[in-house]
Amino acid sequence: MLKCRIAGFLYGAFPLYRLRSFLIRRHMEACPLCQAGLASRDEALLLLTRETDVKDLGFLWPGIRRRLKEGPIEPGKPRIAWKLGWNSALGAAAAVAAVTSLVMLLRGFRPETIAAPGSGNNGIQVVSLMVEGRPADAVYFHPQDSEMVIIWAEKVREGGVTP
Amino acid sequence: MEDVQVLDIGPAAVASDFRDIVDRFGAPAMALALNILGNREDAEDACQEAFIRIFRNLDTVDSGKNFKNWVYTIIYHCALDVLKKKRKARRLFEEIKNESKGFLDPGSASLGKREKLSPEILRRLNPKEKTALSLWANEGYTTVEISEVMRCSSSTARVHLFNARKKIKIFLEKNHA
Repeated sequence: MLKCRIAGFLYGAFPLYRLRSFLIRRHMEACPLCQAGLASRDEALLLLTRETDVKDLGFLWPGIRRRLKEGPIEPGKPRIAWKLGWNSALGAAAAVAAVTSLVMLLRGFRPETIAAPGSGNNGIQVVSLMVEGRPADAVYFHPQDSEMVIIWAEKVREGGVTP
Repeated sequence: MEDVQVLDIGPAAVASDFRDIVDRFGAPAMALALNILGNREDAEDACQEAFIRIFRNLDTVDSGKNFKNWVYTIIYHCALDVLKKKRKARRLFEEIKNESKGFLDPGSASLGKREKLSPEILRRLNPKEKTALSLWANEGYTTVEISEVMRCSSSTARVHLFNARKKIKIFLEKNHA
């Protein structure tokens, strides 16, 4: 009884779905006293309209037919699915590009393979790069007075070559 | 099939499948809409709109998911849309009534004759509680299934159902006393 009161107090005092759900699961669903304070399925059915109560559905099909005639009549295009498909393709392409770049970078940072651009020692060779499903350029950057070599992928600009 | 030919809603197979869906889910859809909306006219509107949405989105149905739940989700959302429209219409009507005080015949001040079917207590439940209760009592749905239809967490669905059952019990006890 005390538990019921505490649960009831907490339920009323804190309108948080998670807390309320927790209280229902932990106490109210198992407690016969609390269950007695809830309508049973049969009691609810006394008030609700049941499937068997719905008799006259003659309006439904003619109404649907009329409204379909008024608007576009073809089944809808799977817009969401299409969007998801396109997004997935872009995501996959970006992931491939990222992995390729990462592999190249990791290979490039091995001490024995690091080579300054134009030194003739091609320790790193980028065979092909794709960004967003299109071929991209690999750009090498070697800051002056530095051992560091930065490589990145860049989209090919329209009508021109990457600077 | 005659209807389908007159309507010309696409390939015969699609049209025939759609007609089957309407026949199969018409009654449970109408029952759910009636329980949420409380009057037949609005429930008919919601049902028709729901089946039109179903028809237009048949291509997007995820075969891995429960088709019945998907149908109920659309009906639930259409019922909520009808309620929103009604609220808007009521606000507009109130504004017009206030602006034209003295010009309107008080006897004509109604939004139209609407047959009220819901018992008093159902009108005190909010639409989410009514939906949860209707799915639980009529369909035997669990809170997880209710949450799938209502697109909410199972915790939220559990609370809606609990509140609905509690309110009904209090009402029934008061009425019997």
